[in-house]
Amino acid sequence: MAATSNTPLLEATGLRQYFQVTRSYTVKAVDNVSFKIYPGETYGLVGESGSGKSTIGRSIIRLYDPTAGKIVFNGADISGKLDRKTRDMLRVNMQMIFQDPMASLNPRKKIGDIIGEGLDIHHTCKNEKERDEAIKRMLVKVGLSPQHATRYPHQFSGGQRQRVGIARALIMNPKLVIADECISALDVSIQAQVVNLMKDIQQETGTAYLFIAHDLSMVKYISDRIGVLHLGHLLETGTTDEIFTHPVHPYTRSLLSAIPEPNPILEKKRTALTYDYKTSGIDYNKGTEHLVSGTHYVSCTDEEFAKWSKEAEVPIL
Amino acid sequence: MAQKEQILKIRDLDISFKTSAGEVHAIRGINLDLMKGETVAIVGESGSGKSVTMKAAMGILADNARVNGGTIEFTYHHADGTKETVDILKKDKKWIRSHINGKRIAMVFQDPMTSLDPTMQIGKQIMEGMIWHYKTPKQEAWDKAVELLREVGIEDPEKRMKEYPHQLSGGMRQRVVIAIALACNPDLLICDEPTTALDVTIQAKILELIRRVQTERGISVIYITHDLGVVAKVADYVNVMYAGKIVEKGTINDIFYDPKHPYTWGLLSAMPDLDTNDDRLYTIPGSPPNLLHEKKGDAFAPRNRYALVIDDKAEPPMFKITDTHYAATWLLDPRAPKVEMPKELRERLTRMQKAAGIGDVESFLKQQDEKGGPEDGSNE
Amino acid sequence: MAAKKAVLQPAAAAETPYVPTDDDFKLKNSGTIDIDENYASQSYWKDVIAHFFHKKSAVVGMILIILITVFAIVGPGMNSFSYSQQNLATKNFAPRIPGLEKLGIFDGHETMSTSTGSYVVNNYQDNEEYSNLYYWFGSDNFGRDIWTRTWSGTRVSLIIAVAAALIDMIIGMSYGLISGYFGGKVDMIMQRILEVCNGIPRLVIVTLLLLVLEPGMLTIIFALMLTEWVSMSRIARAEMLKLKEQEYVLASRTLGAGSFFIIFRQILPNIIGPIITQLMFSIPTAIFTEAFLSFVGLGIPVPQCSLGSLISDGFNSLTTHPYQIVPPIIIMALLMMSFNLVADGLREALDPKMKQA
Repeated sequence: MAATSNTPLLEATGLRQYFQVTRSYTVKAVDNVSFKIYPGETYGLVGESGSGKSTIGRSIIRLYDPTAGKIVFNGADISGKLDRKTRDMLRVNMQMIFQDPMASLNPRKKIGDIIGEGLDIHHTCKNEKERDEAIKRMLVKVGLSPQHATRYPHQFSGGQRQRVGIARALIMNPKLVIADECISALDVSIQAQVVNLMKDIQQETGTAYLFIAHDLSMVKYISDRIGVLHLGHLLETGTTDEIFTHPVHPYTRSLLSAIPEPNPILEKKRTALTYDYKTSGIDYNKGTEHLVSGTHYVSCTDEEFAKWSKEAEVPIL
Repeated sequence: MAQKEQILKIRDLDISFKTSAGEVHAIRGINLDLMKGETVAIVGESGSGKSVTMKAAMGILADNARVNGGTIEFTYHHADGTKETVDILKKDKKWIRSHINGKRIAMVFQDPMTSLDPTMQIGKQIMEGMIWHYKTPKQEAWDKAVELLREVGIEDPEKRMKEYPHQLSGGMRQRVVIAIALACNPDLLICDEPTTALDVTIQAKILELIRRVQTERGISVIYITHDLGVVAKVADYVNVMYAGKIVEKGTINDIFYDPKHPYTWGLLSAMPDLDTNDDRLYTIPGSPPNLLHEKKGDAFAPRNRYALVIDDKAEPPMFKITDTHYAATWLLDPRAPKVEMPKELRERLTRMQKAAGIGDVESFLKQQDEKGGPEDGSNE
Repeated sequence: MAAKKAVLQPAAAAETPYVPTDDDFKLKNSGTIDIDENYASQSYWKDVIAHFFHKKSAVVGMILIILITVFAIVGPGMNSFSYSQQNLATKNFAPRIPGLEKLGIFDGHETMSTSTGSYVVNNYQDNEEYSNLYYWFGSDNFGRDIWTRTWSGTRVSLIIAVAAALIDMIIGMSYGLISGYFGGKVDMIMQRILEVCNGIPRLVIVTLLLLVLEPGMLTIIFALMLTEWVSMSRIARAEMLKLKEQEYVLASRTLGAGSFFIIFRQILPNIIGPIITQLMFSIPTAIFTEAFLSFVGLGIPVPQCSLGSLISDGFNSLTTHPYQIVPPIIIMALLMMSFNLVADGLREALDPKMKQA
């Protein structure tokens, strides 16, 4: 486990991200979400597609302008209009790894130029030689050959391209890396490679990750703390242990019960719990934060909390 | 136990594709058997040739594909109960379209949004196959379609019949796709990554659905997937593919509790189970080979931590481990050094066996072989 | 485990000619395999070129374009005439080509139809001094050599078309890219301006322009430029809308890249395919528009000529001397067809979606 200090690296409070589709119809992609990420830790954000987990990542890195809420990163408020200094700080210290290894690399650029883009934009390197050295070092670090710098993305497989994406993000030595579903488009064996690589780099550089995924077994493996997201609401958050051994929210429980286990005899006997928001009678908007234990919070009403706490005594796995 | 009836028999299938960059040798001698009522999973990374094999069985290979050899024998039943066996590779596309596709072999694709016609009511899409293949009268087809929707777990089917695909959620759409596949009473259902585009909670439900439909109707199913969690849930037999060849085949229990091929080891340990606490996952290094550049010997050797000198010189044959379990690796040759699977995986398998209540793997697998099938071992 | 090992045998005899020795059964890799050296060796442009040359019609088109261009450059200098040199004594001479004349074709004879019946004349034989005179494509009614005029006309037409298309491309592309990238209000205003431009009838604006400005090559290029950029900007904008949400563009934004860097360094190289295709399609349109303007008398001033004005001249004597209109018409038809064929071939070669996997 990475060491955690007391001042959070990133603190989002009451983050809302709405998208106005037509004059009368607004999609509330993220609704009143608050969480903290400490330096050097991995925070896993899980939820199904459309739950707003990718939107959160993009709001934080300011690809979107948040509708409401406050985001403090590295001691600076990054939620409003950015001045030049804050923007440069943000663009260097927060980086993103994208989902689709096919789409996240410019097909017309050489691998070396893709990785070196951040260096070029921020004029980090004094001369060409220093830049090329940095790129080659980074390539080796992510397990690629320095000769690859002059090749084009289409000459590589998905896993290799994702390594290039990681190299591009990490060459700036960021404090926080947002990994947006960065392994879900890869084959299982390659997923493990990428996750290993991310762990190694974290140990070496102490960068923090916001790991956005829908695959719970990988999230469990890589994360120190986890937030469960559904329909734009953060339902439950806590350390990985707390969430996996003592899930309280019915949605979290259904998610955990659906994780496929590579154990055929058990797996064939198991049926997943069903959860349907519409028929469950739960209103996410009414929920308030309830402390379960330690750092484990669940969002619900008082009655729900009493009921679920009792149910949560029954293990699901 | 009665002799099982064979549905699909693929022998020495060899396919290559002509591309502008050169010839890609995608399938390099595949043998596959499927019995009636059973489920076979084909596991492999993208580009390993698993989808191509199934496309060949459906007779829907791309135009630049060339079949270099082999047979795909498919056995089906006519309405009057008579049996017929055909070699799909010898039939022309038109015959396959009217006699096999959709009617005898149905396919469920990865993305339900692209496999449904967005401009057509879902009821019509389900009825289409019945009317085309069996000339079913419209009213009868309608009733059947409603029944099918109910069977795949869609509530209020009469109302849904008139809806369009975009009005349904992802999980519902995949259910509709399955209903369409079942519409013509196929003998064989091929599921190509049926759940990768879906969320975990829905994925489990869809797999449970396919399994239920299969037992009720007694059809055979082939799963194409790279997700071993899915395989564990549904399959009776597993074929592990790598670079256009099957490298290990066996019953589900053979593969999961006693894997022999280093590639299977890597696949299994790459997927963390919920009890994995190791600092690093054991993985297969490197990336899948580019089939444009064919390599002498074992295609897996460059990524194999346990590669032998011989791997660069000759391709390993299929070694027989038990009656059901085969693997293509030189490690199984009597002359090979004794190599243990990685420690992480060994611990993991022990944990899995304990959780599943298996005392001794060897005797368990032997017992299962004597009983004649894995389903007896798992579904008690 | 050990007991099982003993019964292991190859299920099928290995058919490899290589017989393994005991030495072969040794572990090859001692340590870990850290660096991934794999990559595919195919290159994008090689692929495009291979695809392009695979298509016969595109190759034919390209050969024709090259041939016509070469003739447009060297053709006018191949004989002693110049495009403006008049000789009224030798007007309306039929084509006469050395060598071929011995076969009885292109020997300078033509059939004249008059009210009293048709008869064959050969102007070259009328006078002793014409025996060494060769108008390869004949002469027009000012006694100018049609061969020379056809090729210098082709040259003018090509220059006008290519220049106009290139300028269109630069203007339209930039306009479309900027409009598409910034979106929102900027896009709204820029699109309204474009619609207004597109709404003005092209012929009217060109006619007015030519009346105001001094007629000549530059004026025609300017006139074509004013109206033709709209379709190019539409294509550029559509491509931009498609690409601007791509993850590599987002990645560039998260790295702090400026808008113009993203537009011209990240996105532009990726839409060069459709742009080139559109450029190739707009060249024949420009050739045709220029020809049309010249035909109605709004084009190049005499004695200069373009394909359009040649056709116009030839048209006047179509009934009496039909050979005069044939060369410019054939050249123009070939040019337009060739550019379209090449554009079509390029589109297929550049568009990855139309390629087979």
